Amino acid sequence: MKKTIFLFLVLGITACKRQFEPINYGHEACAYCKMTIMDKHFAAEILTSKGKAIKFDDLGCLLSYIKEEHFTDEDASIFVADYNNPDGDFLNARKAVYIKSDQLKSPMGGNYASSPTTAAANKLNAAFNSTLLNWDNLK
Amino acid sequence: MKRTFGQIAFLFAALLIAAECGASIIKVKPAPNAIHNAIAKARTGDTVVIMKGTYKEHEITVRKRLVLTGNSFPVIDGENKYQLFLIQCDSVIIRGLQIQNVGKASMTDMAGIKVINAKGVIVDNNKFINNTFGVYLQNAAFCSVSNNIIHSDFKDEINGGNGIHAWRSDHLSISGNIISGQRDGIYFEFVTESKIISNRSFGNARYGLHFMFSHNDTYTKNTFNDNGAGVAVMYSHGVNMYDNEFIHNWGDASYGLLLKEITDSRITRNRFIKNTIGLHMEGTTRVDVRQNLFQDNGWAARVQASCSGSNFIQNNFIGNSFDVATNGTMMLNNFDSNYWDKYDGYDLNKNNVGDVPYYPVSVYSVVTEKIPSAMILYHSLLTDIMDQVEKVLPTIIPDKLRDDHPLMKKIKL
Repeated sequence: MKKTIFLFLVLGITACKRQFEPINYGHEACAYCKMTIMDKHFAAEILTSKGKAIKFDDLGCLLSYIKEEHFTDEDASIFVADYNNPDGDFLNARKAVYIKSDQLKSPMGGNYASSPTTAAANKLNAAFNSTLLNWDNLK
Repeated sequence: MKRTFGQIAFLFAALLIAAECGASIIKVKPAPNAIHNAIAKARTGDTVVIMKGTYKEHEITVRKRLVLTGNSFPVIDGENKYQLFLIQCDSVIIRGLQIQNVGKASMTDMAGIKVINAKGVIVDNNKFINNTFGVYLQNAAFCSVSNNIIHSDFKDEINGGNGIHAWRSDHLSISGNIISGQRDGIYFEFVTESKIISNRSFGNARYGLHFMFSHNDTYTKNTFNDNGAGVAVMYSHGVNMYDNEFIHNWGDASYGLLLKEITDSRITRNRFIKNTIGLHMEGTTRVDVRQNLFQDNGWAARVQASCSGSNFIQNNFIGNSFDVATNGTMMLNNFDSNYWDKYDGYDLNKNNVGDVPYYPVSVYSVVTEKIPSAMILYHSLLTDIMDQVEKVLPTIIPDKLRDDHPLMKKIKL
């Protein structure tokens, strides 16, 4: 009996863990522009301090959302897709390195591509000729 | 005088003969690089007739004004690796080809026919099968894409392309095409002064028609049915939508028509039938919704509080679960002279206009807007009681959202 209760407790705690929620591509809509999220290169997500996941199809949408909804949750985690590894793990947006170019043609015209390191961003940038950006000078 | 006429006639005949001589017809039969060689050989104004057969050629760049026609639909195959026609010259005509199996690439958008920086190109009466993008227009103007069949069987909906994709173009005419199984049937981004007429776009993974930042365009007599999320019209002004059909776009986030940030537009004589949400409006300004039919939808119209200055006039609302839903109490839009089948008022002076106003937002649509999961109790005794109480003592429903002249009879549309 005790074992069962313990098991339930463990299950309960793990279920409540605040973590990145995977995006169901082709089915979920962007919280800002309402478009179905399709492109794995440009998706982004906010995970609020209470654990609610807000999903976006474009980093531009995420930035507009933060601005227009007066989103001030400092403890929220922000994730962005890795442009060169769209099937891999999402990156911490505050640490990622960005380039911006119209040639990227992102779903909502935000046109940001994220990379995990400056080296990766430089490599990607060879085709786009942008300046490198970080989270603080995105806005 | 007669002599002058004779001279003119002679001159015309001479000109005609000259024109005939200038443009020759080149026939192409299946052989390695046959189309490439024919195009290289052809002179401006020539017609290249591609005979029946299968051609495994790719990156066919056209830099001269040519007419490319197929004789009983020759097959041009991209072997799931390559892109096919690249048109970089004004006034090229392509018709009667079957273009199939275009490849995929992460950096370039590969298409069956890609028109780049050209004017007056005509793509007519072709078949596009299993391509990433069918027709792709980039910096194009005065081009016509008509009577094509575009279909893809790709199950991988995320990486698919659009049927007809236009980017930074103007004065396009897209008519009579049948598009299915793509990501978006027709996609417009930064396209102005264009017309989309009599197309049928169905069974696409995302939107039947999707356009953003595309101003002063007209859409008439199109049918959009069974698309993943319906039709989306965003961030544009001066959009005219007449006589279109939005049918059976069914699913959690599906709309017949989604309008976001649209200004000064007209939505007239359209039919919204069997959609989860017939018409969803968000952040719209001065949109005129007139003489439309909303029938058998989950929500006929969802008008967010961010909309203003829009008119809903002389529409028929028949058999919808909810007529209108909104997410606030403010209502800066005008509902007038519509027919609502749920209206149970009276008409004592027999002028066919109801004597008491109709409130199209039901109490339960307010509740489910705030608590979506409350839908599970819909049509239960509890909700019927709430409806009756609300009728006697209106407290929850936005009282500014009302139709002061509800019609007693259906409008003939």
